[in-house]
Amino acid sequence: MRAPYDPLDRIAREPDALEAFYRDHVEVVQRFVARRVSDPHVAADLTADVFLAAVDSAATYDPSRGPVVAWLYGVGRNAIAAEARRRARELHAVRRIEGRRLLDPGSLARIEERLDAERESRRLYRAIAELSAADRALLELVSLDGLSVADAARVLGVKPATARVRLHRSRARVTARLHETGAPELPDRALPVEVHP
Amino acid sequence: MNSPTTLDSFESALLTELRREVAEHPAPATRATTGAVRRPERRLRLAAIAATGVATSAVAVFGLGGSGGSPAYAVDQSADGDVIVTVHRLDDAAGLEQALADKGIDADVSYDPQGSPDGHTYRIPGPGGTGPTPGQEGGGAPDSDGGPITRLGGGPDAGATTAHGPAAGDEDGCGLSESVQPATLRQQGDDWVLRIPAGSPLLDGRHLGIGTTVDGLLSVWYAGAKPDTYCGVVSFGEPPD
Repeated sequence: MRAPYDPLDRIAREPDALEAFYRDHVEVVQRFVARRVSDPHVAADLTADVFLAAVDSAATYDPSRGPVVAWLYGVGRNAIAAEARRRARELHAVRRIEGRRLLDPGSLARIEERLDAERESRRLYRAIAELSAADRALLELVSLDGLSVADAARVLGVKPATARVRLHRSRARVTARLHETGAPELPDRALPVEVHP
Repeated sequence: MNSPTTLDSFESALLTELRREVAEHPAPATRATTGAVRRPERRLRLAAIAATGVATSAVAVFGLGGSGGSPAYAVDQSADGDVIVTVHRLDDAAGLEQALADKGIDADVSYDPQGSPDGHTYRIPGPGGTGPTPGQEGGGAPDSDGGPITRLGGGPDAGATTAHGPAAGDEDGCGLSESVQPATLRQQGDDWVLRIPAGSPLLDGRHLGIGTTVDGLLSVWYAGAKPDTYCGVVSFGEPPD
C-alpha cells in the first residue's frame, strides 16, 4: 500500500500528504529529539525544526537508499546541528515556527515524560560527544536511534565497510571513556557488540 | 510507522503551523532529486546571512592552512606498481580519500582535530573486554629493529607484535607473515610516506583507514582478512638510514 506521502516530495506541496507524514512520524521525531536535549522548550523548537527541515529537503529522499525514518534521522541530525551552531554563535535567527510557543501545560508534561525516559540515552550521547563528527554521527544513529548499520551508512553517505570500521573504533573509545568517568555499564543496545554491514 | 495517533495540543498546533507553511510556500513540483541529505534550507539562509562574518573568518583560516597552493598530500604509483601516499599536512582528508579511490583503494580518511581521550588506540575490545592500552601510545621508542609495522589486531597477543622477526602465522588475517608486507609507514621530515607495495592485499579491496593520534601522528589501519579484524600500520619516528 502506498503511503499518502509517496513520493515523499509531496509533503512539501500537499498539506494532506504532510499531515499523514507528520502523524506517522511525530512520535519518533520527538523521541529522537528527547535523546539529545533535556530542555522541553528546546525540544519543542527542535521538533518543529526537524519537520520543517524534512519539508525543505523532501526532494532529497531516495527510497533506494533506505527507509524514510533513516532519512528523517539524517535530516533531524542536520537540523539539530544547525540549532547548535546558532546557539554557539548566539545568533537570533528568525524561526519560521517557534515550537515552544505552541506548548501548553499538558503538552509540556508529555514532553518532560519523554525526556525522562531518554535520560540514559542522553548520558551516552554526552559520552560520545568527544568522537569526531563523522564517528559520532554514525554511533548516534546506530546506538541511540537504532538504525541498521547499512541504513546509517546510507544516511551519512559512507560505505557499509567504512561504517563498520568506524563503529568498532568508536565503540572502543566510548567504552574507555565511560570506564574512565566511572559511569555504570550501558545497556547492550547502546553499544552494539556485533556490527554487521 | 505508527498508526495515526491522537495528537496532544502541542502536536496539533505544530501540525496546523506546518500545514499552513506548506500551503503558503509549496515547493515547486519538479525539484532536483540528488541523493544528498544535506541541502540548503530556506530557513537556514537567514542564519547563513547573519553568520556571514563568522563564515568569512573561517574561510580565511582555512585559506591560510592551504596557503601557497601547496597540496596536502600526493598519491603516486611507482613503475613497479607500488602506491605511495605522501601526506604533507593533515588537511583535505576528503581529497585524499578521493585520490585513493581513484587508485581503487577503498579508504576512509579522517583527521580528527580533537583526538580522543585514548589516543590512537583502535584496538577492539575482545570478548574478555580488553580495553585500550594507554601505555602503548605514540611517541614511544622506535622498534628495536626499526620495523615500521605494528600489528594491532584483536587477538590476545595483539598490540606488540612487530612485522619482522619470526612470523607467528597470520591468525588475525593482517597479512604480516606474507612475503609482501601490506604497507609501510615512514616519517620523512615533515611528511608521512605510506607505501603500499604491488601485490599488497590493501590493493585488493581491503578497507584502509587513515587518521591521526592525539599527539598528531599519522595512523593507518586496514581491515584484516578475517571478519572484524583491523590491523594497524604504525611508524615510530625516523627510519634508520
